[in-house]
Amino acid sequence: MRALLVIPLLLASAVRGEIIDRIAVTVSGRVITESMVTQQIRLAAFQDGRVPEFSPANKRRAAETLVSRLLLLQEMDDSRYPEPAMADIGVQVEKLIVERFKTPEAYAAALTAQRIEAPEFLRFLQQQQRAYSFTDVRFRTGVEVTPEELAAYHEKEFKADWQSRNPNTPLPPLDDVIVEIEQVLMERKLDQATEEWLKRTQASADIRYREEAFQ
Amino acid sequence: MASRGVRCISTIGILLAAFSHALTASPQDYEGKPVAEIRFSPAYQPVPETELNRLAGIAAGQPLSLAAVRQAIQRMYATGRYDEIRVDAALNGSGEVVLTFETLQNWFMSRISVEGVAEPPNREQLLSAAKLGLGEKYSEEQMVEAVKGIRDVLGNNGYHTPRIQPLVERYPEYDELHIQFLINPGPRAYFARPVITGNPKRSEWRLLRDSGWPRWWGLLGWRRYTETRLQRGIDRMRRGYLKRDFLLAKVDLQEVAFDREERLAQPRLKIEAGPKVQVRTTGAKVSQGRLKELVPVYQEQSVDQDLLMEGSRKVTQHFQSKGYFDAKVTFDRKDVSPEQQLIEYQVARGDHYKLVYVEVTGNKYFDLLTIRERMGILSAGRFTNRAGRFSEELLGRDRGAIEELYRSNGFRDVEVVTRVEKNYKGKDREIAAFLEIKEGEQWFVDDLEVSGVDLRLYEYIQSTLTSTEGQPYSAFNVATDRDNILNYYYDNGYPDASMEITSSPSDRPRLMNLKYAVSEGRRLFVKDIGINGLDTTRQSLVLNRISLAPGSPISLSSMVFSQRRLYDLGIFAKVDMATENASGGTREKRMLFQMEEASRWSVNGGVGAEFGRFGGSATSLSAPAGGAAFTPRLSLGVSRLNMFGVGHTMGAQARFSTYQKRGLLTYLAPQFQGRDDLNLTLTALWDDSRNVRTFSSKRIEGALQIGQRLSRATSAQYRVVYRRVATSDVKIEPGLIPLFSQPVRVGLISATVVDDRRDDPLDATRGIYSSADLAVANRAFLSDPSFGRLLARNSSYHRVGRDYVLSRNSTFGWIYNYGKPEIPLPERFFAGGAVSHRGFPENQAGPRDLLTGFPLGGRALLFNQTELRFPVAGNNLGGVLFHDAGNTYTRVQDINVRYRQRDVRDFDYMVHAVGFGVRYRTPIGPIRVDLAYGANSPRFVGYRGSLNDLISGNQGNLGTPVLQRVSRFQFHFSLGQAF
Repeated sequence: MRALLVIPLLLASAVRGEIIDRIAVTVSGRVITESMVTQQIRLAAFQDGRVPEFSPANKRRAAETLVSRLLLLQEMDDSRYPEPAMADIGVQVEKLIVERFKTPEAYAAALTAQRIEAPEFLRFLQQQQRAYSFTDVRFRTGVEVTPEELAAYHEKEFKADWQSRNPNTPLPPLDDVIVEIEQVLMERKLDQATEEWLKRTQASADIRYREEAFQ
Repeated sequence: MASRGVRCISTIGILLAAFSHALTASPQDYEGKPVAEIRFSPAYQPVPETELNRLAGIAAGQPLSLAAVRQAIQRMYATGRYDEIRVDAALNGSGEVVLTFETLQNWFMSRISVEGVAEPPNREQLLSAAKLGLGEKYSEEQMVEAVKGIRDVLGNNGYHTPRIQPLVERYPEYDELHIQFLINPGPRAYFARPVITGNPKRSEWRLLRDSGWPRWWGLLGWRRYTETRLQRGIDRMRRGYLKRDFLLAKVDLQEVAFDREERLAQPRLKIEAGPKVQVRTTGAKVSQGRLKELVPVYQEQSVDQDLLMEGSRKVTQHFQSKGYFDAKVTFDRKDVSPEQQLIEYQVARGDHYKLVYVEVTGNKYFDLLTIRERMGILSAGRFTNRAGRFSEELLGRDRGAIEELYRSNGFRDVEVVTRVEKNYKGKDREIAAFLEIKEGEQWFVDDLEVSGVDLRLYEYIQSTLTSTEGQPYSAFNVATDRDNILNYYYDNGYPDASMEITSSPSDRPRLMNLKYAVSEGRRLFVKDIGINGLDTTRQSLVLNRISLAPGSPISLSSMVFSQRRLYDLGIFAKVDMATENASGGTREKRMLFQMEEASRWSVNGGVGAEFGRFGGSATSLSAPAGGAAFTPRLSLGVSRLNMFGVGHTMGAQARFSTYQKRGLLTYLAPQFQGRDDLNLTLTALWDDSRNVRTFSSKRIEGALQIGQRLSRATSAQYRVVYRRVATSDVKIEPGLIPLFSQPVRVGLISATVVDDRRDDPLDATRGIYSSADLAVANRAFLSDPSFGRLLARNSSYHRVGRDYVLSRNSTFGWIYNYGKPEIPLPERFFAGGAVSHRGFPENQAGPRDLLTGFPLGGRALLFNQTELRFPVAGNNLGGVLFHDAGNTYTRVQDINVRYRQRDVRDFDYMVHAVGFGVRYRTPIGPIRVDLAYGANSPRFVGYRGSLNDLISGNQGNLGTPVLQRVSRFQFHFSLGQAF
């Protein structure tokens, strides 16, 4: 008799089934699903050689990355920015195989273990490369590093870093390291410009996170 | 029992085996398993089933792909009809996957309204504060914001304890909802004495008086608080400072402190009066009033370098416009004391010049008229612009305008060289401007390639293009092509159409290759039409005026056209349109119209006066030609819109003056039978007037008229009229009174055609106006008299030179009496006066009674008026010289052009009058004063005595025939040109 009472409960829990996908974020009429978020975590972890972590906080971060990418993608498509050639991405992957996996078979096995398709990873890298290249082109104009900024960086951050790494070596003069510092500052400013653009764009877009997808 | 228990447990085991998968599996575990069934929950889905299955794109029997599920979610969401989508998977007993799409639908706002607030704020302000868009998706978050926005606006208008109740009414059949904000605003706050800080340099009492916030200087307390009143008060304070030369005064509203308990709003103002600033000119005089217009520091209440420069530029232009073309203006700003600043414009006027000659040469492609039309400089005129219009800046602008004209027609290398010659032809202070146009070679289009256009549209698109092969090449033409193409797409349901244009020089000289790459984007169609907001109006009335139909492409111009037609009905205060779920991916869209009906009652009244030669008592026979008289005039009207909900208007008008009492009822059906070109008018008239000196008439009339617009310039009216006219106080030979004063019934049908091709109906300078009215009265229409009547008019207007207009007007009228009795007096032609012949007082032309001398009217008329119109001073004051000729004749066969009046019994001759007039231009037409001299004005025998004397035959001391004459001098004052 007790067994009979258990049946409806079991049925009730089973009828609902498993949620296999749902809307996680909407960005002005476009959708990022929960499966896209989890796959983003896998792809990013695979690229960095980390174990994927599906905590709510990490899912939220991955979703934010996808939102930024979606907005950038829109901007790139609007300005007809070209995609990098797949051959170039192939070279990048070959380098990864040699450095981390040694053999293509090991690379393929690692992908399978992470439930990632090889073309999917290539596409991920291609999109990433396109976004880097685009932000460089889009925001480099107007970004300028002034002599004062170079001197200030050399005097503070470079000096501190140098002294921690080379305690007994005298600090090289600014002129000797100016290219390196300029590069660092330029990258920093580019990141800043991109961040600001994203903030502005996100503010004007209708972005809605569905919290239930990030539990 | 035991076996039953075992069986039961076994079953549980099987079930557990089946469902345990669902309890522990990850989404990837379902991948590749065959799909048994696809379900949608809830059962009602906002997308039709077939469309839904297409969007899901997953078929039963196929292996499950998570990528396909993701794409299904994206496709479904892109329709805009879903707020939430979740996909559940479960295995059935066969190990196949049962997919369930759990959805939450979107709702769209199809009516948003606000009720219950006494203005201000008005409904529009409140709806705007709600920031809810018609046709957009509804969300709870938006509603919270909307209530907050409304509350803020109410608060800004002194309502601090409002109750706002949003009512949401859902209409599941359309996935729509209506939102109504019911507002109980509570009591409005009053102003409290403001707190003023800073250094205002004016007493609080004066500032408060300027603000207008206290009632009767505070004796009756304070006014109710509104945002408009607050701002107006602050503006008045600022103006008070401006008036006293405190140009830098700052009146800043820092906050308004509200006391909810006491219902008081206390503005806190920080006022810094600053120093007094005096602006003056040296070297030449400019009135203080003009200086305030020219120097923007007064308007901007700020003194900075840019504004002073702008002032300098405007003062320079001021002098240049007066003929001081070399005028130079500099300025200086001095601190006279901490309390006073001085801004001094030093004017070096230079010599006074006159632009006497402007020459344009080198133009081959365009004629001189086309070029002159684009020029701002102007040689001196005789009456206006006596120094001409010239400055270096103006000349430069003309150069640019001419070059642009040429460039837009393919002359890419055009150049205009200008030269100014002073002391032209040796005459001191006269200048001439020369513009030499170097046209250069014209560029043409060698090849035009249009891509991306649907083949079915290609031919039409081609026909709209201007930059086709062999045509002149210019950026202007290319831009026109782009506009034409995109407008065509927008009007045919392609809201996202875009176009890319590339141009490159051809291999051959002076030729360009063009490429138009069109991206059509999605095409949208009308699914159906939703109309909301109709309380009185019938829905069919609105639907019939919407030119969008289900299945037709969504066309921007059709939407605008529909909106215009609805506004043209005159019964809607507001017509909002929107596409529901505009950004959603569905091809078929519901179009929403939200109407706000206008107030149905309107009342108008007027007080005026008439002045003219229509005087004389009703019984006296002493002034048959009319005496100068004045009468006040009152009018009152009331109308009710949207009768029976069909957009018709009913109106009643009453007019009262000494000489006319009139009551008029009208019923107007605009856009009759749904046609824009037709309207129907029914009128009922009661009129008691003495506008013709000879008699008083009482008229009761009913008429039905259909108006039709045949073309932009041509219109027609078709009428059926039935009236009963009775005359009294008839001042004619007693023997004729029975003949003319019988009450008569007149039934007639008439048609009028008007062709108006004038450039400005109020004050035409070119064009032609023609009209013809043909009427037939017959016993068949229950008419006592039977006659036909034709009245035709033709006017033409010609510009002569730059400033003169020669205009003429001819009028011909004919009444053909084909039955009995005689044409009654009120049906005859009475003419003469300000608009027909200025040599006569009003209605005094034509045959007269041989005993009393009063006008009898005629059965024919012919008038010709000629006017030369010219400017007198500035742009608003003008003059005319005129010649009016013609008369009202006894019969059509009596029309002649004879100058002399044979004797005092002869009225069938042509009266001539010459004169001059003054016109002052106003927005409602020119005010007109005319003085005419009629050299051959008619002489006639009048009767000295009263009507009783005449009827009783008493010709003693009181009743005597007297030789009289229509005064040679006539004066007319009225509004509008004579014709």
